[in-house]
Amino acid sequence: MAGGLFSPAVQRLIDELAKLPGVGPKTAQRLTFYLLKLPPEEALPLAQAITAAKEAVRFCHRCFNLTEQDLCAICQDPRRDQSLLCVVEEPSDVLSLERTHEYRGLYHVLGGALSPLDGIGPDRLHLDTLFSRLSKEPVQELIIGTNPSLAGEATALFISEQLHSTLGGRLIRVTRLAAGLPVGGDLEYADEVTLGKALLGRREM
Amino acid sequence: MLVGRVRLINVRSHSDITLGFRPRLNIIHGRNGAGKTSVVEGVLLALQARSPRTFRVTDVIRKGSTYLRAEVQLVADEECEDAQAPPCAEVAFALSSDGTKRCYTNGSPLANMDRWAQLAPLSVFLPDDVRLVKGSPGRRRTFMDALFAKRSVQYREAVSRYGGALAQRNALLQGGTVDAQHKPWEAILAQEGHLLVKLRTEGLAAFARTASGVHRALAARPAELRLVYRTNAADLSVEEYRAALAGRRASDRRLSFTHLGPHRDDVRLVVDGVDLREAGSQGEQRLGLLTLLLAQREWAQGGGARPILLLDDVMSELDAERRRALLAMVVTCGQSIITTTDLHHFTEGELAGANVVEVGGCCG
Repeated sequence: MAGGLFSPAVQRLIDELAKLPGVGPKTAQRLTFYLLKLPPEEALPLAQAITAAKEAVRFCHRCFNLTEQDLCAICQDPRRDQSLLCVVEEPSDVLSLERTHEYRGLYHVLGGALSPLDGIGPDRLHLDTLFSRLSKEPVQELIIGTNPSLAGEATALFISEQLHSTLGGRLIRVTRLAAGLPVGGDLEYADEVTLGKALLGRREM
Repeated sequence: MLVGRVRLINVRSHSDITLGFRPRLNIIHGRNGAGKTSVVEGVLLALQARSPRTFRVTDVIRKGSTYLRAEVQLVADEECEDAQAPPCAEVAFALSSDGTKRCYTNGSPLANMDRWAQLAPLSVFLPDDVRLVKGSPGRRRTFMDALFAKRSVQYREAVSRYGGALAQRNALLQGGTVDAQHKPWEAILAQEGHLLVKLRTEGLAAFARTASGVHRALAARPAELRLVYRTNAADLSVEEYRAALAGRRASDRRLSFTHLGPHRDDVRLVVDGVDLREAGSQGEQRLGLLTLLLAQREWAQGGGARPILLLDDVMSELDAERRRALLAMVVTCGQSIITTTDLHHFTEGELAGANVVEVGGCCG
C-alpha cells in the first residue's frame, strides 16, 4: 500500500491489527474502518477490554497458566491430584485438556516448543521451573502433552532425557499422550499417518 | 489423465496455436525453429506452472507481447481409471510480463497445480538435459523421493520428518549450543534416517528390476544396468546412528552442517560396470535418462496415475534399432508426445498408429 494514504493514527491502527495471528493487511484495513465507523461507546470498550486484560492477567507463578492472581485456579484447588503433572506447550492446551473432565492433576505450561530454527532453545521455555518443581513437589507421574509435531516431539525427548540427570535416583513415571483415531470417526476417512500411529499404539482388549 | 486439446497464446514463437492430441503415440512434426519444443514447454506450463528450459518463466512470453496463456484440456484415460479423476478438465496457466502468475481449472482460479501434478504427471525428456544422470546427487534424490513417496505414505512421512529435524539440528550447529539440546533432534534424525535408508534400499531394489528391464529392451545389446545406492549411513542401527551423530557433533559444528545421513545419498546408474555419471558417453547418459523416465512410467502403474511422456527430439539421438525399441515400449499404453524434424525416423506402421501434428508448416 502506498505510504501516506491514511492519516498516521489510522495507519498505526492498521499496522497493530495486522500483527494479530491470522490477520493480513487487507483484513486489518477492513477491521480498522469497521472500528472507525462505530460510535465511541461501542469502539472504546474493546480498547478498554484489551487494557484491562493486559493489566490484570499474568502468568501463574507455579505453572505459567494464565491467571489474574499469583496462582491460577488449578494450582489453588486442593482437590487436584498433586501426584500428577501434565506438561503442555500453551495455556490454550490446558483449556482443551480441562474440557475433557478426565484429568484431575496439575499442569505446567512451557510457553512453546523447542525450535532452534526459530531461535527457541530451552532457556526460552519454562523448563528450569519444571525441573525444580519436579524435584520439590510430590509428583509421581509426568504426562508429556506437547503437540504431536516434530518440535513437540523433540521437546518431549529433551524433557525425558533431562529428567534422569535432574532427579538423581528418584523414580517418576513419564508418559506421553497417545496418538490415534478421532472418536466417532470412520476408519475410511482417517489419514494414513494417524491410522498408522493408531495401529502401532493398539491395545489389548 | 491424458492431454487432449492444447492451446498456446504468446508462448515463444506461437501467437495463438491449437493442437489436438490423442491416447498412445503423438508426433509433433516440424522444421527446425518451428516451435515444437515450445509446445512441450506449453504443456508443462499449463500443468505444472514451470518451464523445463528456464527458471525465468517470463522469458517464455513471445517477444512484443505482455502475457502468455497455456491451456490444456485433460481427458480421462480409459485404460487407467482413477476414482479421483473427473471425466475431463480444462487447466490453464497465465503469466504477465510483470511476473504475475494465474492458474485456472475450468475457468476458476486455483492456488496451485498440485492436483494436476498428481492426476496428470509428466515425464519430460529434453536432449540437452541429462542432469538427472550426470548432475549433482540432489536431482537423483528428488527423483527417488517422488518415485517412492507416490507409493508409500510411510516414505513421505519419513522424508518430511527427516528434513524438518535436519534443518533444526543444522540451526543448532550454527548457534554453538550445549550438547544436551542436540540430543532430541539427533534421536529423531537417527530414527527417521535409519528408516529412510531401509526404505530406499528396498525401493531401489524393486525399481532397479524395472529399470534394468527397460534398459535391456532399449539398449538393443546385452548390457546390464544397475542402480547403485550410495549412502554414508548404511548398516547402522538406530542406536549406532544416534551415537555416530553425537560423535560427529564437533566436526559438524565447524562446518555448520550435518554430514551423516540420507540427505547426502546418491544413486548411480552403472552400465556394465561403468558409472554413467563419471565415465558414460553422451549417448549412454541420454539412454540412461530415457531408461529412468520409461521405468518411472512403467512403475507408476503400481500406484498413482501413469506419467505422460513428453520426449523432445529423442529420435535423432537414437539409432534405428533403438528407435524401434523405444516406440515399441511407448505405444503399448498411456500417452506419449514426441517431437521430430524427420518423419523418416518412424516406420510406416508406427506412423499409421500415430497422431501426427504439424507445427509451423511442412518441412522441406
